[in-house]
Amino acid sequence: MKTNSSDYESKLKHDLKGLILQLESGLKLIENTQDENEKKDIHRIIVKTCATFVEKQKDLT
Amino acid sequence: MKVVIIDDDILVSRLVKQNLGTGYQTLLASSAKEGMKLLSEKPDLVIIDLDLEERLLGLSLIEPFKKTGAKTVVVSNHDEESVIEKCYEAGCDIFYSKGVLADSIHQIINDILLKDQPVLSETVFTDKYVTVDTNLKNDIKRAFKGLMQSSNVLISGETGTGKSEVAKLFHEEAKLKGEFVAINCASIPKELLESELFGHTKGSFTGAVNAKTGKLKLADNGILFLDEINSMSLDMQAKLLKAVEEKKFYPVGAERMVESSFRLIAASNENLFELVAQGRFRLDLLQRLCGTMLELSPIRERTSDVAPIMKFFNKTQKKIFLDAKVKEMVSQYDWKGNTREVKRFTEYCLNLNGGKVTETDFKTFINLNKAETTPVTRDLSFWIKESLEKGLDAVTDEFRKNIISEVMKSNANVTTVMKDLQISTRQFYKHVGNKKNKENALVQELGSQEYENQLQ
Repeated sequence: MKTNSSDYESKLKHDLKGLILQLESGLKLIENTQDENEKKDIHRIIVKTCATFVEKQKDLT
Repeated sequence: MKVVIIDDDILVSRLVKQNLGTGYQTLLASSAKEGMKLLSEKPDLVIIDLDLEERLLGLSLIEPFKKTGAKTVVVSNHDEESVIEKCYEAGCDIFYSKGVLADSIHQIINDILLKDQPVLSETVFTDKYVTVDTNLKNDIKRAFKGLMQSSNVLISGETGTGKSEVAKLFHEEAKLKGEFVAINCASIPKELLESELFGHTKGSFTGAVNAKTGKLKLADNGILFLDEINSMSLDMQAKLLKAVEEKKFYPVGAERMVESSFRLIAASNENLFELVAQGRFRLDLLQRLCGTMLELSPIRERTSDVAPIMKFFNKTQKKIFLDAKVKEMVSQYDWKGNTREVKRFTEYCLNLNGGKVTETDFKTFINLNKAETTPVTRDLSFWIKESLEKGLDAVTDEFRKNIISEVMKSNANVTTVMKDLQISTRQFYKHVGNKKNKENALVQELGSQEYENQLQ
């Protein structure tokens, strides 16, 4: 799906903010837990979040 | 307090849950569809991400949750005026930038949940828990505020200081959606306490004919009052700690966890910090319980309360008058039974022929009262002193008798009580019952011939 320039920038900024927030939250959760399984689970969600972000941007560009 | 977070950014909502801490029951949903399923939970607060499966889909969740009475917070990375306006038009209480949600969650709670919370009015201290003591009033008000802010409350105080009355009035004044559920940990046999608290499934143990809902679940959205928590065994304390922390637990025999958003008030007539030092109480549980602490001072430290308490208990038109000497004695008397003793004194005064209470009357009351006082809940130092005076055997017998009598109050079935306390019929009737019962018990245990022999 192609978008015009200002719409593209607005959506990209919005998605980037969301991604950064997710990553920051993931980082804090990892720092706060001693549970190895929980760390792995958070890692898994981070990877999935990044993959979803990349896929979404492919559609936008 | 129950909080629902509906956000497809799972790590953000997990962090918010972590920051909220254990005082809240936090339920997470990662889509609008999942979120709608949590309507029946009737949360106090719902946090909705604006963009869910679709852009701005969160708007559609505001109204349904508003109808359940929940306060609604909408969070988003959008900061356009038009979007914010739509959220307020849909009825949201506060719109927040999602970027600061996790760090500001307690501020949000303060802003929209706590500012409208009830506070205790002065009339409580004349109508429900009578005191003119300013320090005690302030302590009670502070504890109530703590309870409303979702912290657990630990009430300590000697027997008769009104711990359960305070817990009940907190429930009445808090106007919570759920019930006040009380349990006296000392009156329930150790083996049954787990089932009483957590409930059990059908057939989970011998005698579990039907499934039973535990007190923790019955207190959902209300108050669970655990009286005499000091008598709880260490393994039971461990199970309770987990339930208090997570607000979910397994009923006995169940494979699925049950959730309950209860506020906890615990009471103890012993110093729990001393019990921790003695290894009889878990420090981690004590730390959970004492979010807010309230110590109800004994009447002897606030004897100015005696007259208003007497007035409270006097439901007749008869006016009681204490002469000057009695007033002086009242202020110096130790009132070991605290409010209960003042109540007994009021009843005693009302039964006197005249309304004037003299020095002799008060002395008679003191002597009568000594005989009636049940010492079962006294602390160890009391029993040591008694043993040194009367001999260990006599005091142990007295203690056993008191324990049996206390257990009988909550279970009148003799056979069950004997089984629960793991005592024989003979041991039971040695302490409780009339002469005929005792004889029958001995005949049953020894056989009639041996009994006759023993008599000779």
